[in-house]
Amino acid sequence: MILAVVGGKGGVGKSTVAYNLGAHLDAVVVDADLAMADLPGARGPDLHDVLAGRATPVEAVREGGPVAMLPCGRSLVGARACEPTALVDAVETVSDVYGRVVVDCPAGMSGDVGLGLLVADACVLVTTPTPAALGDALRARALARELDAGLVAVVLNRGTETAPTETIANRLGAPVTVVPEDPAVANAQAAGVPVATTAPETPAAAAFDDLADAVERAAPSARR
Amino acid sequence: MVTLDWETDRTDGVTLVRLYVTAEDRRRVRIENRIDGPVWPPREEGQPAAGWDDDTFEGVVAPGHRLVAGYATPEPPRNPPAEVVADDPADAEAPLGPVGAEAVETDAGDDRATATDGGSSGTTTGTGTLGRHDNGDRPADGSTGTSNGEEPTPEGVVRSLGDPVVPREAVPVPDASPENESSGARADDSSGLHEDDSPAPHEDNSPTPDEDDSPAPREAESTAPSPDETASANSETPGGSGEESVETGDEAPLEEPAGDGAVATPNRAGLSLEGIAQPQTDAELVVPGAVRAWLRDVDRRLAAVERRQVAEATDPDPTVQIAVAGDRRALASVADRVETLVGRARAVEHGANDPDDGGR
Repeated sequence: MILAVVGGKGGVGKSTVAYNLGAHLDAVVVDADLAMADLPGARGPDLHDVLAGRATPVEAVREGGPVAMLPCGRSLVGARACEPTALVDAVETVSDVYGRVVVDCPAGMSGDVGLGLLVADACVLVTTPTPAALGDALRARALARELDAGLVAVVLNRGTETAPTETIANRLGAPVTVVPEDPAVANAQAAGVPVATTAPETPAAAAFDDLADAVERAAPSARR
Repeated sequence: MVTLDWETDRTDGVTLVRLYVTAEDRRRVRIENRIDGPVWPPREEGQPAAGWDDDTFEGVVAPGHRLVAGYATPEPPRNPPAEVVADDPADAEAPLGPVGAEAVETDAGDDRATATDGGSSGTTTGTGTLGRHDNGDRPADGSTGTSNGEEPTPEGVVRSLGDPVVPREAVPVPDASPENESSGARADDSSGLHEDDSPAPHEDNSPTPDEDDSPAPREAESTAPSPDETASANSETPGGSGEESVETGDEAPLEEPAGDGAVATPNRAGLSLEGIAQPQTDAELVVPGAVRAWLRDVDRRLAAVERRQVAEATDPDPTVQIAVAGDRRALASVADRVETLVGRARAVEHGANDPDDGGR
């Protein structure tokens, strides 16, 4: 299964959701934000090298950390030199070897978001309860539908109890999981570990667990 | 003979129904919901997706092409959730998939518009992509596909959404002249071109133009600045692993071995062999992407000029000539540099350590 995490707007927590979801699903998280990678990196070949033909996708996967990662390089030069359409084959190769893959898509509606959705079997949409984020979420949702990446869940990040989850679920057409604002999430992300490791008792960790369950329930099983 | 399979799934008070229809010959089928409740078909732009009319779905199925439909309802599931209520032979010309997928804007479109206004009060519960047919023959309902009736391809996605590759202008390049090596300022296009020999590109591995010319048409503007590209190539390390900064000084990453070598090699001849051999084996494997990108861009520019010359037999415009002149200077100095480094590499390989033979 290949799952894309999209959001449209930047800063809504796509990478955090992708990383924590990857931990719960035991998946490889691919940081597909070619120009502004923000998941934990490390030494060794990265996605830029893969997309420039300098490394194979599998040798760029880091299994050492709490979550298996295919990190992205952080240099603009590296981003400039890579061939973005190769992302599709790269992610499929990783999925063939490792099974589950979570693709952390960049913000915006550019080609790299589309490529992440194209290769994905399903997607999770991350948004925050603000008008700008919700507007972008609707656009990302339309793109996901066009590219046949079924929306399996919406994450309302930094949501509150009063958030209009029902309206959001109706507009976007998928169940909504609220991840509450919690410094434990940010701290864990900064430390490069999933929140379930550092603060398993928090509501946020429970929310990611629920989300992973929802994905497992709804992810298309008929196809492969 | 038509077979209907289904899956149902209840989440958050909503039942999602997936229907799969297969047939042994080309059939036009009509499927009706049997769950006691409203049908929420997938919607596009607020309209029910092609094939849906109230609580029935109609489509054409053929051997080897599964017809897929999906919808949601607030009521709990039952078995079967839906039934085939009509099943007729279909014309060979009838397009596979939901009926009306290509011509919704005619009469059917009007019907749907009124139906939505009156009835469903804007309940947009999509079931995602479930309402799509399965294999091929996909109607051109969006712009991310390639041309009509094809599955979206990576190239089509990039074409319609935009190339996500960082634009050349966004990559900060060090000033090309060695004197200002610490400056990370972006080289201005035109001034860079007029600087005489300063672009001084330094590549320490042979930039064999072995590369694929095909993928991802990058913009091939004819006035593209060559110093830009040489400099970006410059700060790319051969292994490409973990480069932290794009604004390394002009000489920093690649000149290091050279500068150091002049001093250090005689002192630690044994060690230095290892130290130098390492990056070279890496570099043997592949030419760094930045170098390939640069060569590809130069290639495109030259090809464009050549085409124009053949076509018009006139002078190309002056900006192109300046760009080509810049390319020529940059290529020539890369060639010199490459030759020198190859010579030094050979010398090192043969154990003849003369650090100065490659210096300038």
